Amino acid sequence: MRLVLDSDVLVHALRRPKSKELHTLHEKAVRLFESCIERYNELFLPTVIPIEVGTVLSKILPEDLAIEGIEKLLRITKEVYPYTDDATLNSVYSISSHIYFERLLDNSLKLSRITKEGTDSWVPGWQAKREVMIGGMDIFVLTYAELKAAVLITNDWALWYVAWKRGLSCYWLSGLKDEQVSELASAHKIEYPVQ
Amino acid sequence: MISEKVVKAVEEQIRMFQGLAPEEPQVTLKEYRDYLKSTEGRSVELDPSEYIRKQRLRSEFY
Repeated sequence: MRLVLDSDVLVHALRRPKSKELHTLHEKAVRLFESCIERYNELFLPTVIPIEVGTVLSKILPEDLAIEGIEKLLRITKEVYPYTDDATLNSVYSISSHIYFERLLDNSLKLSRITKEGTDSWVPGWQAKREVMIGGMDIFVLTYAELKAAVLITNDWALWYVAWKRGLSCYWLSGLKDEQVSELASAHKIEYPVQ
Repeated sequence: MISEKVVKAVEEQIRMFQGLAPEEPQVTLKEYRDYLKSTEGRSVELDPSEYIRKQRLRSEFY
């Protein structure tokens, strides 16, 4: 199964937290990340994700560990698109990058601010705010997952909600139970959210 | 419409670059777990989801 793991999920997977509150999310992220190492799943990333993960790791880890974490991430990733450190792939990807750009632009105008539907109040993580707003970086991530027909996993509720309403196959990490994470780690899609 | 000449040029470029871009070896579970262990107690405690959400809405990269 093609997975797009959002930056926050990858940071959870690339450092061991001290606090117990973050440990549960860390464990879930590790299981998903390891499923990509074991090739049950394939990790697909838009270029912005390794860059964003790098900026966060460099703030929270010593430089040598941040570099090692990013190197491991890139070696596990099946595709980084449209800009990568592989010259051959850059040439190939440039052929289709305009499609990505056009879809990004369209999504940025349609999805950056959406009104929540009250009938969705049963979904995990629901809060009584009328609107959901996402930023340009979220649009890059969502659009890439959409173009690649990949499964998006994020711990960002706003991005999850917008992607879910858009019809993407997507999961909110905090809302996933351990057995659901195991299913996804075994490359099985699950019904989510379940009413 | 892309001419045959352009297609051949692109193919040649790809062949040329292929020789310069060897495939990276895969990371093993052990290497990953050893790395994770080495981060233990060495990271600043921060909730990545909260931090990245703020970054994305308040300070875009582009």
